[in-house]
Formats: sequence, C-alpha cells, structure tokens
Amino acid sequence: MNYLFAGLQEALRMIFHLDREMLSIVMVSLKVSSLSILLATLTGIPFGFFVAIKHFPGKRIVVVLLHTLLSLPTVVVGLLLYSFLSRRGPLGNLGLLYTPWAMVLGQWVLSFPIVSCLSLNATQSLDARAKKTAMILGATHLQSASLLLFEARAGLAAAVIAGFGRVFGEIGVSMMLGGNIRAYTRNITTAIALETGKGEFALGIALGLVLLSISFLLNIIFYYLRNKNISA
Amino acid sequence: MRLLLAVWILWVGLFPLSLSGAERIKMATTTSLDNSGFLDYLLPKFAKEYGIKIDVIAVGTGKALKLGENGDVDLLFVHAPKAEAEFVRKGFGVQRTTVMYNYFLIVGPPRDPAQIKGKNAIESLRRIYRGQYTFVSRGDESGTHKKEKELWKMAGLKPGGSWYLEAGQGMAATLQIADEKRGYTLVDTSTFLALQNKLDLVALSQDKERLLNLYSVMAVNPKKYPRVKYGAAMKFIEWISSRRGKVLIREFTTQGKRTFFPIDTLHP
Amino acid sequence: MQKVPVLKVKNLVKEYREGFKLEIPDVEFAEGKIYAITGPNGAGKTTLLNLLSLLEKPTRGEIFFRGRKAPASSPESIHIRRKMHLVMENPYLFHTTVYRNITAGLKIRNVEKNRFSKLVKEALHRVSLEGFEARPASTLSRGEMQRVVLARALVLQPEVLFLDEPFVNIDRRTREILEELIRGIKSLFPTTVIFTTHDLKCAYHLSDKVYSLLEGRLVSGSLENLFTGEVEKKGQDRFVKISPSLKISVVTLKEGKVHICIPPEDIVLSQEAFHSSARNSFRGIIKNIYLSGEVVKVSVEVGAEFTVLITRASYQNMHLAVGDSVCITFKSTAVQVF
Repeated sequence: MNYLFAGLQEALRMIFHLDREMLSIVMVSLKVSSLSILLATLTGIPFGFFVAIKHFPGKRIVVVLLHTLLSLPTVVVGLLLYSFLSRRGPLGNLGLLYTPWAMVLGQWVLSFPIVSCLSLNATQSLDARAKKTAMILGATHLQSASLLLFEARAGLAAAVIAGFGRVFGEIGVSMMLGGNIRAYTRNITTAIALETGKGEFALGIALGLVLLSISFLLNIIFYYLRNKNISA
Repeated sequence: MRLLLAVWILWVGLFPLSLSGAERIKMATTTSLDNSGFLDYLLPKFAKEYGIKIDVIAVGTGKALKLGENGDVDLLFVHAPKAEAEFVRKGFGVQRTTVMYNYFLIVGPPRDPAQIKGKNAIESLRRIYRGQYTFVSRGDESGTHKKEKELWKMAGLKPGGSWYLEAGQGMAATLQIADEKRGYTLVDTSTFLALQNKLDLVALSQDKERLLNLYSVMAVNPKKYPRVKYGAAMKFIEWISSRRGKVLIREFTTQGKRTFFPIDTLHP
Repeated sequence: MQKVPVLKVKNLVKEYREGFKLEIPDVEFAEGKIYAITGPNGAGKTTLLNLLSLLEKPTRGEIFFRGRKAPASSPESIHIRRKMHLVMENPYLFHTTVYRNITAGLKIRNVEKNRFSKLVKEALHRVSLEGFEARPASTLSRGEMQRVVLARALVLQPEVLFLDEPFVNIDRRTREILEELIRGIKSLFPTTVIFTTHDLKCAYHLSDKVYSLLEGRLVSGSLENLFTGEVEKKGQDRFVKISPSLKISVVTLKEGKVHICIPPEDIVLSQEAFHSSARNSFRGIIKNIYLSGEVVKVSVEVGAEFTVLITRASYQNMHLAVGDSVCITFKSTAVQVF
C-alpha cells in the first residue's frame, strides 16, 4: 500500500509543480486530439447532416455502416492505417508513420463515425416544422442548413464532445501510429501504459488524474451548454 | 460561446507550426536502451551538437528490424548480432557498427528456489527447467528474447508448460511480471540497474562468457528506400563510434554504476 | 381596369394521399384583398396553402405570381417565395430568443443589421408583446408564441400573407389582436391575405371573398348551401332534385350525381316574390337568425334549409323574425355544380 500512497503523493506534486515531462505529454494529447476532433467536426457534422436530410438510394446502408463503425476497435484502425502509412504501403511516401500527423489521422478515423452518427441523430430528431419554418422564411438550401444546424446545436455539441472523449482516452491508434516517441508522439495514454510497465506509478497516476480532470471539465461545459439550450 | 469557439480553433490551428522545427529522424531501438534512460542521456547531446532530433521508437529488436525492413525508420540501435547480420545480408541495412556492450543477467526472487546463484547460464536454465520454476520470457522476438532462445538451445532444452510465461512485452514490463510472479527472467544489465530499486528481484547468474550483449547501430539502406534520411543517420553512426561517443557511453551510469562499455574496451 | 392578380392558379393538381386529389382548375387572388378559404378538416386547405406559398410542388399545373410563372422549389422562385409568408396552424419557434426568431427572416434577406432592433420593436408592438426581445422562445405561453409568430411574419412585410387556421386554439386576447391585424393590415403595408378557417362566421366577418374547399375542389362562396342530387334534363334545361319537393335549375354539362352549392351572398331574400330573370325562387319559413357584426345570417326552410346573408340595414328594414314567411331567389348561374 505504501508505494501507492507515495505514488499518489508524487503525482500530486508533479501536477502542482507542472512537471515538464508531464506537461509535454499532456500537450501532445491535447494537440493531437484537438486537431483530430476539429477535422472530425468539420467533416462529420456536414456528413451526418447531409445523410439525415437527404434521401438517396443506399441511405440505410450508410446509416447502418456508420453505426457499425462506432464500435470499430482502435487497434483495427491502427493496423489498417499502419499498413497504409508504412513506407511499404500505398501512402508510404508521405512519411507520416510515427508522427503526430499519423495519430491525428487515426484519431480522425476513430472519431468521424461518432461525430457523424450523433450529428445524424441530432438532425433527425429535429422537429419537422423547423425545416418548413426555414423554407417559409425564404431560406436557400445553405441558409436553411445553417438554421437547422444552429437549431440542433446542443446535439451537435454532444457529438463533438463524445468524439473527443473517444480519441482523448484511446491508446491503440496512438501507440501503433505514433510510436510513443518522447516529447513528440508520447501522449497521456501511451505514457501511462509505458510508465506503468516501467513501474513508474507517479507519472502514470499524475497523467491519469489529468486525463480524468479534462474529461470532467469537458462534460461540465457540455452540461452547461445543454441546460442553457434547453431553457432557450 | 462564439468567442470561446474562435479562440479554440485559433489555438488548434497554431499546432502545426509548433510541431515543425528541427530536422528529425526516426530511430527504432530496443526497449532496454530506452528503459535504462541511456537514450534520454545521449540523444539531447547529439541534438545539441548536430541540430538533428532523433525520435525514438522503442520496440523489441525483432520489431525494430521489421520497421527497418519496411523503411519506416532511418536508423536502428539494436542488440541481436545474428539477426542484424541477416538484415544486412538482405540489403536492408548498411554501415552496421557495433558500438558497445554489456551483459545479460538471469534474475530471480531473493529466495532463489532453483538454487542458481553463482551458477553459469546453462546450468541455471537447466535447474529452472527441472524444478519447473516460473520463468518469464519476453516472447517478443526482441534481442533479449533471441538471446534467451539461444541459451535454451545451448542447454538442449525446449521450454514450455504452465511455468514458462511469454510476456510479449518490453523489458520493463517483463521484469514487473517476473517480480509479481516471483519468477526468473533474463534481462540486460542496463534495464535491470535502472529498475532494480522498484523490484524485489536480485541478479543471480552472471555469466560473462555466454551472456555477452552487443549493441550495434546501422542505417536503413537508402537504395531500398530513397526517402529515408540516410545522411542524418550516418552522422549519428559516425558520432557514436567516434572518440566523443565512446567517452559518453562510458560516462553513463545507472544507480552509480557504469552500464555500457564502448567496444574498444571489450573484456577489460 | 384589368389588374394582374397577385396570385393565379392554372389547372393545379396535387395527388397527395391515397386516392385523394386536390384539383383547382382556375382561381385568381387580387392584390390587396382578404380571402378566406373554408372547408371541413381534411379538405386540403393546408395543402392548398403549401402549394400557393410554393413550399410544395404540385403534381401538375402552374402558379403565377404577378403574372410570372413561379415553379415551386426552384432556385429562381426563391425571390418570389421571399415575398410571401405562411403562418402554420401549428407554428414553430426556433430554440432561441424572441429577438433572434423575429430577425431570422431579415437575416436571410440580408437586411442591414442596424435596422433589426427598430423593426423587431415595431413588430412586437403590433402584437402587444413590447419588451419580449430577450425572452427565450421556450418560456412563452401558447398565445404569446402565436403572437411572436405573427410578429415574425409582419416584420417581413410579405406581399401575400397566408394564415393556416389562425383562430384554432387561440386565446381571446390573441384572437382580438389577430382580427384587428387582419382588418388593419393594409394600413401597415400593401398586402394580400389568404387564410383558412372552418369557422364561417369568421370567414365572412373578416374577408372580402370566401372560397370553400370540398373533396379537393375549390368553390366560390361558403359551403352552407350544399346539396347532392341527380341531374335531370328537360329539353335545354337542367335541374337537380335535392329533396322530394325541391328542384333547382342549374347550368351544367355534367350528368348523374352531382354536388351543388349556392353561395349565401348570391341569394336574394324578399318578403314578396318578385319577377326577375332568376330561375330559382322558393317560398319558405325563417328558422333562425344569427346576428354577427355587419352581416346577418338567416336560415330559411323551403323544402331544404338555405342560408342567406343580408346586411344589417336590410335586416332592420324588413323587420324579419323567426317564423316569417319569405322568398329566396337566385339565378341558375349562381349555382355551382361539381
């Protein structure tokens, strides 16, 4: 028990003294996950919205496929992208493997189904009169889309936060595509796995605490936004 | 709300800038070198002198060689002489230079149920085998794993059964498992020294003859993969095998003990 | 002077439910007038408004806005659509403030932002909701919500304003505001109002002209005097027998079973029979008299019950009372056959 307590104590010291090693790891996590979630937001929301409001042949298949991709194991994504990004693979010339960009790409692939699925659901659950009202007001397709996206904002925010939650705590893609390179691709989850393997509990605990607090903070922001919208 | 969003997007947008910078090459290496803290000691010095940042991908030697074969890294720093020779023979690696060495150890619980303390490596393995005492193998085709298999072969034994655990993980994790399971394992000196005070394991068999551990660097063949950073990789190889490199290798200590020895002082 | 109608419909057909068809061969809506469209539930009133406001595509036929063809859901007609506005029976407010709801249409039309607050203030004043700008839509009562929807329509100053069943589920205060608005809307901006209702009194009370929708067809007038019977031929003349004792002279090419309808305002009520070119003249007893505003509705039993509309002045001149014997007279061309 003693070593656990000592680890926790050391972890708290690291957090309050903003330990450089810990900060660099946290920053990699934040950078990579933010960038990937930004990409997922820019692609997933329009995609989910489009699938929700348009009628086209094969729409059901797309919806089922998207829902299936929700439970895509991270290591499968890692493996797939690895084989593409390796110099031997079709995209090898880009030299992306073991860079933060590969992690961004992998996390984007992971979060895209979640963001687009939840955006799809959020759009579909809009009142049918919302779209008609937009048309009555004389909106073009684009104006109508922006009105409806605004109307679905609570659901869309939830989609983005759920996507962030998925990528921020995942390890498969980060480990396989990032390679856990110190101060470059070593993020919170790969560091925790590595440090625990080395018996370095303190840094692992500190990073775990940071991971939890960031997730906690995000959910607080999310509930705040949602309640604000419910009352509006 | 909008302001918040704008600030966030701006912040995210600035990342790409912060990620670029100095020239960087990728080096695949063994977990033992990484776990021992040796690379954290060595590489910043190289970066400072040459302006080249080396990104370390710490995997087993087997996996490291695979990465080299795929052209996914520029440089290798590994410890499995036979596999390395094969790698060079196939044309994937060039400029293979053996730069340093130390020894493997067989470690185990202080109680030492197999009574291997002070025995040579072959005899130790035989005793563990006979008594079916827990032995944790790396099981990941790393240099240490290759060495271990070589030793079993020399002993004329084929390990297997519930006492023989294949971890499939790095050196540090394997040591943790051996510690938890009160088992024996083969480990390189550097990793063991680095982790010793977190473990309830002791060095039991130190066999200088059979447990020699040779480390080599080599570059991935630019003829196979024109995009690898051969020039920068060569700079590192030259630097580490130079007088300066050797001094640095010798000066590195773990827990106050020398950990690696430059190659010109073999069998001091 | 022949003015171009603001809206004109030509051979409009919409097949929209299993076997149900809306068929409007020809109708015009003149500029600046107020129209009421009545009809029972399910008659197709909402569909008609959706078609007229270019929100829905007809199966066949065309709609002309000021003489220009206006195809629904085509990019060119968006400018026409922006000159019209529909208030739905069950209107929707976006989940945001009253202010942003009212300005949504202005934003779409790229109205300068610095005019917004003044325009919103004016519109809210018209519906007696001064100071409601910052209120979230979800905190409004039903009546307040309906008024905000009206304000959202008014702020756009549409050239044609459609109101779908505006008097359903409405509180007294909102009803007063709405009636006042419909009557006085022309003093605010030039516009044509077309509203649907199943309340006839209200239709006559507020509109310049009443149309009725029955089984998918549009008929001028209300459907108060609606009867069904077989077409009988007598030489050149055509009659429809609507009760054992009552045959009505009509002009039609149709045969077999038909509906006929006589708009109440086309029927002349008199105490004595008088000679005229009108082919239909029947004597009967007054069963009921309804007073509502400037019009008086009288129902007369002549073998079938007829509804007749007269002005309050002539009602007072004639000293009518329930049980009096009176004559009703109308031309055979006034009878609509369908």
